[in-house]
Amino acid sequence: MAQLADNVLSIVSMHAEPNSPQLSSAPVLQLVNHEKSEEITLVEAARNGDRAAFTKLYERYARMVHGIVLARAPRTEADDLVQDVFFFAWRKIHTVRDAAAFGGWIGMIARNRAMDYHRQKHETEELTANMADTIAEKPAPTAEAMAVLEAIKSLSEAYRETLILRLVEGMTGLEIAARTGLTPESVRVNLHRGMKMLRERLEGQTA
Amino acid sequence: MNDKYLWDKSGEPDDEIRQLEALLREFSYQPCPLALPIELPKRIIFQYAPVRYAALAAMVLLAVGLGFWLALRQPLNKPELAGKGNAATPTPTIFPQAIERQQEPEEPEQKLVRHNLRPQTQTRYVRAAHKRVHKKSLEKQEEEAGEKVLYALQLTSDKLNLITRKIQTDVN
Repeated sequence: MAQLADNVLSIVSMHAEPNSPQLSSAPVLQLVNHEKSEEITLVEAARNGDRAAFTKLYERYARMVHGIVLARAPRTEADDLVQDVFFFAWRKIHTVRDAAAFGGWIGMIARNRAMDYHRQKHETEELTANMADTIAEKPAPTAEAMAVLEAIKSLSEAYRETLILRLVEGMTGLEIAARTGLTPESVRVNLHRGMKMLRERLEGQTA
Repeated sequence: MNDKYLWDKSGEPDDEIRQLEALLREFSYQPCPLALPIELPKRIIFQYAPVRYAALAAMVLLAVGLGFWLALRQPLNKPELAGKGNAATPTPTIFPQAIERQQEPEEPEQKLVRHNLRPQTQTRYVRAAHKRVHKKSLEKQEEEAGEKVLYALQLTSDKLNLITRKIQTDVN
């Protein structure tokens, strides 16, 4: 906890421009501390069977889980896999010993579930009229968007996950660090290097 | 590339990053309610390994104890080991020597027969007790014999003394 706060402070001070007035670290720290202590309370309540607390955790972590799953599994399966991850987490929530590490724990479940998806044999099901209508509601992604997503997915694991969380899910670097359990420094490096590699891949595609 | 915008979307927006965000937005997570199963998560009674191991150890001990108890009790209940009594109603094996000792209330060996022991164990136990009793009776007989011998020697010595005195008086 204290380490996370120190990391946040270091990032905040690192990004403060020399000529601009120094950013006040107190609100950021307060926010991080408050959110973390609230999260610990939620995890402890969920361990005792509190559904409402677990639903709040779901609302807080669903984006991150979606991003992790999307980095590994087909986009059409991502929503189902997110539900699957949280079902599994609900059944196994009593095994979480360190409530502060919930983010890392559910992130690991999401990675394992996405890997399991590729290992399992998937049966195909014929579309019913109702299902076809539901799918038709979602517009098909453009070829350009698909190409960018595939380019991100072709990067190494650390970069693709961080880039998807930032570019697809719209999370900030600090949010990614706080949710995944990575240090802000690692996230910053992954974002920077990942963007550089992505640009190279996209330039290679257009050339 | 604007690192600050990439980090926390602050500062001057980076056109390239904004373009990518706009393209990829359609893949983003669309909030939907979580439908949890009805059953509650497992309670935390057996969450900790020591509790699990203690419960397992208690069960093993109970099973072993029960096994021993049955092993000790079973042979006495078998009809072929029940002696000459009625085969349908098993009776404990009682040895004649033990019965004799049971009839003598003053003897401590009276309690030699233990019905909860195996027949072999009972036999060994009774034999050992017999040896102890035999040894005791031997000791008593020896003591008595020793006393008799001493008494006889004393009498002989007294008689010899008397004869010696009589010879001396006759000579005088």
